[in-house]
Amino acid sequence: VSLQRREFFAILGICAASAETMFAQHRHGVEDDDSVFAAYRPRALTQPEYELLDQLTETLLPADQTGPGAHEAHVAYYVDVVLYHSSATIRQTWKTGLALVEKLADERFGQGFGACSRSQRQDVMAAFAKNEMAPQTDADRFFVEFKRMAIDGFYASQLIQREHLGYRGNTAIPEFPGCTHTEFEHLDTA
Amino acid sequence: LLLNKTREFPNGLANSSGQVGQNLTSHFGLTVTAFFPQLKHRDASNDDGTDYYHGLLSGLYWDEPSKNFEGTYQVQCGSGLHPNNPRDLYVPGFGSALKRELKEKAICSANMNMQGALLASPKKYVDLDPDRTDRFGLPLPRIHLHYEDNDVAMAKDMVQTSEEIITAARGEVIFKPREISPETLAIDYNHWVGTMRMGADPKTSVLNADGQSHDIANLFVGDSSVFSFNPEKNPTLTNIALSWRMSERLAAKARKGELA
Repeated sequence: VSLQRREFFAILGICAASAETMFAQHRHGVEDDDSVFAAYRPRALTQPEYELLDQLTETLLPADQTGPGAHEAHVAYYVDVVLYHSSATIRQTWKTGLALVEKLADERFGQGFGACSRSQRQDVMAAFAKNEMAPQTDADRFFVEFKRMAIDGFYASQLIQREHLGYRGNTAIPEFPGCTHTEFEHLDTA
Repeated sequence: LLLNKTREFPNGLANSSGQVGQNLTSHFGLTVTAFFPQLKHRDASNDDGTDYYHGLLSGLYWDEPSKNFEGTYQVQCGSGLHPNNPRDLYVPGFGSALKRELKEKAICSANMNMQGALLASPKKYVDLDPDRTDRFGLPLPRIHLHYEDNDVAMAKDMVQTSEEIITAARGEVIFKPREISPETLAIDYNHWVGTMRMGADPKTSVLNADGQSHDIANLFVGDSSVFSFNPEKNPTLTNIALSWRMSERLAAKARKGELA
């Protein structure tokens, strides 16, 4: 298994546990290098499967007033890279699962997921997700796996951690100001 | 040692006691996740340092043993906003509602993770496979590890205790195992101990307190296989202390010419 250098840095960029551990002056702008993602061609999935995955993850975790969505967080890229380094069995599970979603969209609306409107995509996603707490079928089980990895990829994104989640940790600080939480002002910590 | 059977040691080297491979144990456990609504709007700007181990519930049943099981466990409590929190929150649904709920619960959730010691018993041991061999034709090891009633009872107690603490703190349980059975328990692959236990009696132990074989004077063991018992605590520091002592005693005995 070998990761290309640019790919390695792109994953580092997605994962906030990377450059954030360095002092600010040593940080590099790899996490903002969108050209890596723009130039990326999927290796585990076909291009149509990759585009479907991007649309599905954005429906699962959409851009809204709380912040960016899965598309902007490059979740499809994350999944494809993970699948590329996974077993052939796992890759096939994803390919089969994505085909099941396309079939579901076709049965409900006579067209592929990508051609569906926003509300139609939500309708397909609702059907896809309906048994997630007690999965019975292959499609149910795939949804659970899909959602888990999409959430992993979403929150591995530095963009999401900072802008959506409000995470400010994993940062080298030059001085320690002590506990600044107002909730604990009444405690005598001297 | 089990592979090395000789006329003098028909059950394997240094195994006159029959204890080589016996008393295998590790830690096991499960996790209960909770949500504390009263912390929804707190400042979570920097929660580093509040992951597992910043809160350790320890000392349970030290003074008064449980009536339901033997031994004890510790609970490792993790809380605070961390990027890997959302994957374990089990929020159903999708879309903006999912995003909102994941964010909200990531800020005010906490995990209580049990670390209990599997009770050492004759059912837990390592031996050699009589049928299967490796590419050199040597027998493969077989690990016999079975959860027993005592282990399940300990896990049930942990879930009950955690739920009591969460409820008392006005929290809501988000996740706990649907049922507590051997299938829902998770073994710790880093905390194996036993199989070469130390003891004073050569009939019931493999090594003496110096880590030296009762049977073979110049055979010493320095790792966590020498443990005769597995507490609920992590084994590394005890392992280092015992290995350190073993090395000092080995050197002293060598200087005196006692290992020839």
